[in-house]
Amino acid sequence: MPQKDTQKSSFNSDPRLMHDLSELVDGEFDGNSETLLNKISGDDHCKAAWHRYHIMRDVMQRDYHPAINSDFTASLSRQIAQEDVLSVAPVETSNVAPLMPRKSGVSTARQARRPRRAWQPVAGLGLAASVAAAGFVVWQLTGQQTTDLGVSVETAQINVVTETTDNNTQPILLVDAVAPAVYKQEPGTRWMASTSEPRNAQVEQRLNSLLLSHQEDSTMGQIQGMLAHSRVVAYDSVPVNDSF
Amino acid sequence: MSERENDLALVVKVQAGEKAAFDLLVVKYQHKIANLVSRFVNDHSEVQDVTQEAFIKAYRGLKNFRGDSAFYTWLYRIAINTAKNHLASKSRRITDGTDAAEAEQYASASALHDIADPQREMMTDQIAEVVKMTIEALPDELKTAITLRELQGMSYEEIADVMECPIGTVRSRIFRARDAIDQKLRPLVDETGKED
Repeated sequence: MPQKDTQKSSFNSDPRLMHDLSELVDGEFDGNSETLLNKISGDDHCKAAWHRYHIMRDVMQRDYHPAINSDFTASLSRQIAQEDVLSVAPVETSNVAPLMPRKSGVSTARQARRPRRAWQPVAGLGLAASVAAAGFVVWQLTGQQTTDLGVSVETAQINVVTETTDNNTQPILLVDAVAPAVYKQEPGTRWMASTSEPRNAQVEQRLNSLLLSHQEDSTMGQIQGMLAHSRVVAYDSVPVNDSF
Repeated sequence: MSERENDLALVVKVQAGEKAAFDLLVVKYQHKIANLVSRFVNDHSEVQDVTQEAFIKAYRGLKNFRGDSAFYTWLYRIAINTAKNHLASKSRRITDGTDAAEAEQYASASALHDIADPQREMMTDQIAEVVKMTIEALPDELKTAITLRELQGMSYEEIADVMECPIGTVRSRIFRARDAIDQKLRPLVDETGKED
């Protein structure tokens, strides 16, 4: 292996320039990089120094590969010379996303190899949407049930009317109590008169029957599956003798 | 200016028709790309060909490069695709060849390429040895600075924190370390950038 200019230091050429070149290689040059890059690409000595600095880096980072022989760059340069000259609108620097801060202890080469995880925000969004959808469904189901079962039916006042006939002075009593009867709703399907009022079995039974039919048609119709065909049984406290 | 911005500045020059700027990008990434290609392709001469093809494709594709990603990630993608295409076409060549002797001849040619590799391996070993020995011989403060920079990828500011010294001192130490290695490396790599 011939030893050429073994003791010649790069300081001899231009120490300041080599110092700047060292910083440029590291991406730490504070001066005008454009000017320096122009100088490097137009000067063989600078270009050779650029090459050696990168060889050092490749060796230290174990990227140096024997397949790249001495003629590689020159050969490629000859091929590129045969290619058409590019003349396109230059890249706008505003397109370039800001650099991630370099993590200590991690080389730039290793950072470059790290795959980009573009699916992560999408997956997170999908997960959040699924949870929200599930929550909405659960809320709807439970909310529906509670509103159906816990519906507050306002107490209705029933005006009871009596009628008289010509041949019978006794009025036909449609309802025993002349005073308006107040009915309240019991939980479930049961209607009962308030405790202060006398109970009327006929009215109570009819109301219960209507309520039963109504609830079977409305509430149970919204339940799916076999449950929709089940019957709601009201507990009837009216004695059998009083029924008509 | 960061490394990524430096690359972008060179890309802009190439896009403006300055071919010489592309050489700097080639020099910077040739070994990394070859290393990447060698994970797909075993034969060294093929690695060189595929690497070269990847750079030519990159040059042709630079007119469409808009800087949305870093240049090196864009280049790596091209290299990987080129290597995969090479493997696919090679596989077709072998399976299309009905003559068994042809396949055997192909294998022999590959073997011949491998025989030539030890020279390159030796050269690589020598360069690597020179770099390592020079770093070992460096004063501690220079060795630490260059190691933290090149092996740990730390910024100058981070190195200044670790070494508890001004950032200007870090700049100086890294340059002095590089210059010391450079003096040993120059005999092996001549002024035109060729390895002897």
